[in-house]
Amino acid sequence: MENIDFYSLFQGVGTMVASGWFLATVRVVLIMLGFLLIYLGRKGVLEPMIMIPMGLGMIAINCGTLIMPGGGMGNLFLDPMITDTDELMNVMQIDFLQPVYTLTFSNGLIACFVFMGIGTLLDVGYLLQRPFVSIFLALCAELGTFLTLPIASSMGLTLEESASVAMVGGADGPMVLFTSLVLAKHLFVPITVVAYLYLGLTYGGYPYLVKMLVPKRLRAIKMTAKKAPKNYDSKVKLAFAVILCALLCFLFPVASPLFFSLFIGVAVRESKDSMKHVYDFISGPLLYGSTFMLGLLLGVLCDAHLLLDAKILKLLILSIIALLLSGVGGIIGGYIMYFIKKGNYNPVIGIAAVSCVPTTAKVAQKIVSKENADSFILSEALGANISGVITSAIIAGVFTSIIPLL
Amino acid sequence: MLNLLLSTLGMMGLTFAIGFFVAGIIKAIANWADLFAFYKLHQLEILSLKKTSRPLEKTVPGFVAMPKNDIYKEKHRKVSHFLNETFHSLKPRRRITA
Repeated sequence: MENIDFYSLFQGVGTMVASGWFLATVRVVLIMLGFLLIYLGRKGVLEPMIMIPMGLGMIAINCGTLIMPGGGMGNLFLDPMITDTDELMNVMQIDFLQPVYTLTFSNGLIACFVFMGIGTLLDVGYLLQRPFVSIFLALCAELGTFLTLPIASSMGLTLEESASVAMVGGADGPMVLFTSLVLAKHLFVPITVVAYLYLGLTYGGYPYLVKMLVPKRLRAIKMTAKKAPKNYDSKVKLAFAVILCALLCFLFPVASPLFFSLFIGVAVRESKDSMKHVYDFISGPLLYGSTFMLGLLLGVLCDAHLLLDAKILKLLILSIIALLLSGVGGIIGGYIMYFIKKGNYNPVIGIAAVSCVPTTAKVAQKIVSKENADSFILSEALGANISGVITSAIIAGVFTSIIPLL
Repeated sequence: MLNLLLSTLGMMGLTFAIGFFVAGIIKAIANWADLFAFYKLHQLEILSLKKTSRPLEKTVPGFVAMPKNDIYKEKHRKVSHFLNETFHSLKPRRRITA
């Protein structure tokens, strides 16, 4: 009995002591952050579907570090840094989340599943009603994506790393995951974790940005429509999905898995009369199951050892810059439309062009309804929102095709 | 750095160009849908006009069917006559009410 070491018996505490004060502090901070994410997710300040599993994953991975048979520190969840196939096969039999990570996360499949689910939520009729205005707003809302690229490069990141972190400005998780996978695989884990963490913050942070940049008088604008909105037939929407998928895949084969995933979702939605079970599966179990697993994996990837990259602080700063600038760009686009339409346009719609579907559209409607209960902007906001997904996909294609050539 | 700024501007321009091209295609799809809906709406009228011209061929002895172009001219003439009639009948009434 005398030989039993307390730290060997309770290895979570033992590794905390053995890892040194700095790593131990980071682990404690991440555990506290996990608690905070769960609390904010539960309260509805952040997206609960991602934040609750992510927060719990963060807590579990940082508490559950143990001494591995080789003597080093590790865990029984997953090891994202393995590249050797033989070793990977061994780890897959031990770490319970390794198969999910290797077979769905690290190849972007989970991003494609989420995109299919998002596709089933999109009513492209809003985009068909006013394509130029929606796309214009979405292009303005990509300001952060473009400006962060030179900023990141001036901070010492390579062009590939800069482009990967700049994609956070597009506010589209699957796009960030995909771009960093193609351009900067070594930073794939921290960039994706930071991106999803911040994307959750858009729900809580953007309302303050809008209130800061748009005065109350303009937030309360009630738009009057000259023509009654058209309702497009599902055949037209299906044709839209097919033509646009073909066109974008033709232009950017690099991002074709994402285009395909998005438009197959739209196609299934528009054929739901004949594909009801498939529609129910993609819009329900596939979307929510993938989102849950994504949250879980993101949490488990928040291992202190893994995130202690010298570049992590830069990534944290650059990601928030990208998202802020994109929000500002969207609002500038909203103001431009306000002046073009001679005051008959609510500039708040611009924030919905930051493509975090459908969060930013909901945020825009919530802000406007607070100021003027009669003002209904959700259809315009959703049009801009959907365009945001398309422009993010275009930029992902542009970056992955052009950046390696520079 | 200047090179990077120029490349970024170039990529931005390319994205805007592709974005507006995509918007143009979406607009074309929407216009095509409107046109199709318009045609479908008026298809019934065209069919009914065709039906009204058919009995003439059967009942009137020695009736010679007009070539297709003439049928359309005739339809056009009928529609314009109807419109003129309506317009002229409305005009005085408007004046009276004014």
